[in-house]
Amino acid sequence: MLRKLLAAVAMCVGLIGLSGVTPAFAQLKVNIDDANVRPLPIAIPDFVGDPATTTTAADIATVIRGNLERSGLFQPLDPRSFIEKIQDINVPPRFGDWRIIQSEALVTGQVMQQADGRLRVEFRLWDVLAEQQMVGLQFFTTTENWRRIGHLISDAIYEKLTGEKGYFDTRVVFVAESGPKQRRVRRLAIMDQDGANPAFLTNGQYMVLTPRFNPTAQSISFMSYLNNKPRVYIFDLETGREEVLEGFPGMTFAPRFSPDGTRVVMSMEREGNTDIFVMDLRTRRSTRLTNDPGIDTAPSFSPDGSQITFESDRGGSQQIYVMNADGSGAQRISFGDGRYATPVWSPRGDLIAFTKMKGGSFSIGVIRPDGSGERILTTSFLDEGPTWAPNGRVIMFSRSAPGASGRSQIYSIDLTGRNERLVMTPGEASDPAWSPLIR
Amino acid sequence: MQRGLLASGVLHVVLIALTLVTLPRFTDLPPPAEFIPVDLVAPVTGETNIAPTVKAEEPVPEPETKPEAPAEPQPQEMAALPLSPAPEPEAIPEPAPQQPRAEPTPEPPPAEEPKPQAEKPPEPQVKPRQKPTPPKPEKPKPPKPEFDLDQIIGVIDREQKPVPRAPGEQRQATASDRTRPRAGAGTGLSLSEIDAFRSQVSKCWNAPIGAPNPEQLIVEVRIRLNEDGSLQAQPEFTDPSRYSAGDTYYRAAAEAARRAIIQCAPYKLPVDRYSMWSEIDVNFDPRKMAGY
Repeated sequence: MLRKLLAAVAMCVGLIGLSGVTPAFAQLKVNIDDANVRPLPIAIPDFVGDPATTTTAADIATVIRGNLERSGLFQPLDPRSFIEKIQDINVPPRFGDWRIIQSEALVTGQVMQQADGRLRVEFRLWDVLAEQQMVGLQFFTTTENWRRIGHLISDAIYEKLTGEKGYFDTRVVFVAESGPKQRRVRRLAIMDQDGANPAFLTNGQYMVLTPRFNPTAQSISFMSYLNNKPRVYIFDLETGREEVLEGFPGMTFAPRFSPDGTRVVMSMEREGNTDIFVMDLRTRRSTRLTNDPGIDTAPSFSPDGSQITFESDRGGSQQIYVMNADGSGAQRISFGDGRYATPVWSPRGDLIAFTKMKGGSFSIGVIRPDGSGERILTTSFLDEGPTWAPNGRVIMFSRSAPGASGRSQIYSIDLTGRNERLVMTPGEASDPAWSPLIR
Repeated sequence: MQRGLLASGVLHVVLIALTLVTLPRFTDLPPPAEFIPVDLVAPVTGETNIAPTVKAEEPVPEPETKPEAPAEPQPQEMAALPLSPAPEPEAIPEPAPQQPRAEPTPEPPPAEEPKPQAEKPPEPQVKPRQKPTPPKPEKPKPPKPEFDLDQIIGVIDREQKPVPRAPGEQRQATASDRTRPRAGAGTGLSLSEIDAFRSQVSKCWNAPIGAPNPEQLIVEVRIRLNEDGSLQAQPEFTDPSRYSAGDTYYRAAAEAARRAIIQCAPYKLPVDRYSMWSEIDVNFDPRKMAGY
């Protein structure tokens, strides 16, 4: 009897079930929110070359390995561990051979000399685990330009694997320093981002400070003391010509280009007060953006050109502010302990890098434009003057050691704060400015 | 009267018990009808994906001649040449998967490599394609619950008696298993089993840190597994349109997720509940990682 009753109940329940009240079959879903973040193991064998290009083929692979390794995001594997010897890049590699050595990506390439003497460089990037080609490109260039090919290939690999544009085909201008600290010679210098091809742009007769690239990497603005008067200059890299931005009644300094390259924003000091001005490079007309008894300086445009960040002591201590590009709506965004200086807007727009002074040491940090999320990336006796890689992921800055003999050098650090590197320069160096990607 | 009361009481208890305990079992229905036995198109050995880029003799923007400026090389003298959309028909002659490769130079180690698979030390990544397992026609579906009164009575009976375990089955239901919440209705896996799977995948996931807007980089990958936990086929993105939409950040994030899945296979999951995990949607959420 009871059995029957239960059966009847069960029947009812079954009916309910079939009528769709119960949940449908649930696909097993698993959420993964924890990762094992590490540099990606990548194999970059020497490129295949013809008899005329074997050395270049190996050199290009070396440049790529160096770039990717320095980025901190990749771990180029030791070529001695490779099992397969790549001989033809048009044949798929033996993926198993690359998996055994724990490689997750593989770069194969070849360098051929064409009849006209130019190089044809081809490469393919393979996803070793998915056994798929991720990208394949070819380049043509003159023989002496092989290094740039290495940078361009590095950029393509970086972009494919991170989603972010690369920053290897770029250059850095900086102030090359020599001589005793009291009588420093400061010359404008330039090099590739990896320290190769260094060259001086000025002869050191007059002091150069705060060099900055324009958006096409074709000219550099800087401040110089000529006849003991600080002025803003524009140096054209192609012609080697330099020009002073005239028309200001006071001292001008801390120049920086607008993102479209048509304007220069800078500070002008007059009768003890420093304010921010912007000059239209076509009309040479300048416009005052701040009018405040405090010192307003170090202006930097947001990448969309709509806002400017700058430092000011108008509130009693040196802090970072953000205002509209017409000078309206200035808001303080830094509220931590200590003083803040040299704000620089990231090319990606999401962060502003700064120098922070607190407790006798200097730090490089980042903060969101709304003032949230301040993070210190590195601290030392004197870290200052941040400049962004064009992809907004790496920052270069100057570091000086204490004492009369303390060296001044350039370092880079990525946004994680974990990958700090000394940037090789010929001699001492300071005040780096990273170029946009060269086109 | 008393009998009626008793019957009513029993009925209620049974009903509650059914709702609490039995119902989920009832609903462990076989996978939905739209489950399609995968036939993941062509062999995924990579060569099908080779863009004919490198072969294409595209006219290349002639690099401007380098000005003689000794100081430094002129920028703009060479453009990166994204040849990607080179003419399709230029497909590189499909090199046979691997064995018949004409290895021109006699390399010492892989002399004639009879079968790459056999030679290699056992790898965690089981090649989905070459797996000897015959193509599974369909998952062995548990018999459809027909509406059979006796069967239902059987179910009720089972609820009342402890279910005799299969001889090889070790796992004992512990008190903690009962008290711990299940990972989701109908998954049939305990939280600790899911946790183990999760940590196995996490170990291989090199999440895209540092990219902007991590909330837009959440990638869901559908994986189909063999009973031994190996991959039946290449993982699929559940939103393939986003993958091919041209967002380089998303694409890189998706590919990193795919690499994680492939790299960490085979997965350790309870064989007795294979039907519960033969197909899993794995959601890779990098938001927690984004704070560096």
